[in-house]
Amino acid sequence: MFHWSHGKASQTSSSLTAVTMPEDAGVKSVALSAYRCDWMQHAIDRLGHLCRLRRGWDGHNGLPANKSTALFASSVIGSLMLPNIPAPSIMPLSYGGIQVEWHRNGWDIEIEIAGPNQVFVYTRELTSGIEQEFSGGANLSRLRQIIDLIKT
Amino acid sequence: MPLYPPKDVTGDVIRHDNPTIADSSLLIRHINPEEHVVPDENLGGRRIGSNAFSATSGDPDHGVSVDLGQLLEEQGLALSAMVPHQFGAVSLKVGDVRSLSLAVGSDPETFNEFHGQVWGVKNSGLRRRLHNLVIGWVRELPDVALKK
Repeated sequence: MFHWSHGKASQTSSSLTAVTMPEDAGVKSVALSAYRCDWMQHAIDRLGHLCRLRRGWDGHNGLPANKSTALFASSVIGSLMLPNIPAPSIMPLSYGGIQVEWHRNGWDIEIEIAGPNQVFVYTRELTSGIEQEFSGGANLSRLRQIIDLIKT
Repeated sequence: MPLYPPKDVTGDVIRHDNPTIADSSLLIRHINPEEHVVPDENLGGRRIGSNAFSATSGDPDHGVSVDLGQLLEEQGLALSAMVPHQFGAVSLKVGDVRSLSLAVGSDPETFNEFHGQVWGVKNSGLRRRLHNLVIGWVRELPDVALKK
């Protein structure tokens, strides 16, 4: 199952099936590349859309996503992409920032990208109610550990 | 009743809290059905995302745009009067917003004299707290939950 939140949610079972294909490391590598391409293509399409939003898209004075922020967001998203991690929702913020988020497996994960190298992470585990907030730059490994918990 | 907000030398409204805006009155936030709604598998459906309460662009005081329900009602208008076609809208109570130490004031615009700001929403934590204060729909989006 491949989750995508904004319509182009094409089922990419072929790439995912291939990712889980056992034994042959070469096949795995190629399949992972296909998965990566698909995941990133959706992300890039969505980021492009956010950059093309009209001013006032939020019903008030919201700006389209800042292009340098979108470019940086694509690198953050790419660095978090692992097999069996569903694609995130990629949402605009009224000031031109971008929010990347997952809400699944009992976790809320929200990554605010305010600009290049300005990353703020919020996580909440629903059962315990425990919330964490930290800036992302130096804590990408910590973020990866949490994202690992929402695998399909 | 116009509220005559304070302005800087360039004519921009500056952050202020206007005590004539009653704690019991409502603030209206517009919800874009395409960009403010997020799928939530934990909830089993779609809901308004915290990004719907993001500070407005270019505002050094981190203001979130709203319509002031008190002014709309004084003019005999519906709370949804300024909500764009096909958008949803939600309401928050002014007193609840002030309890977060946020300032509520008027910031009239050429095409929306009822426009106001919630100033001080400078991080995602405050954005989420603002989201949690939503009390209901002003114009409902079908099959979309208000919050977690």
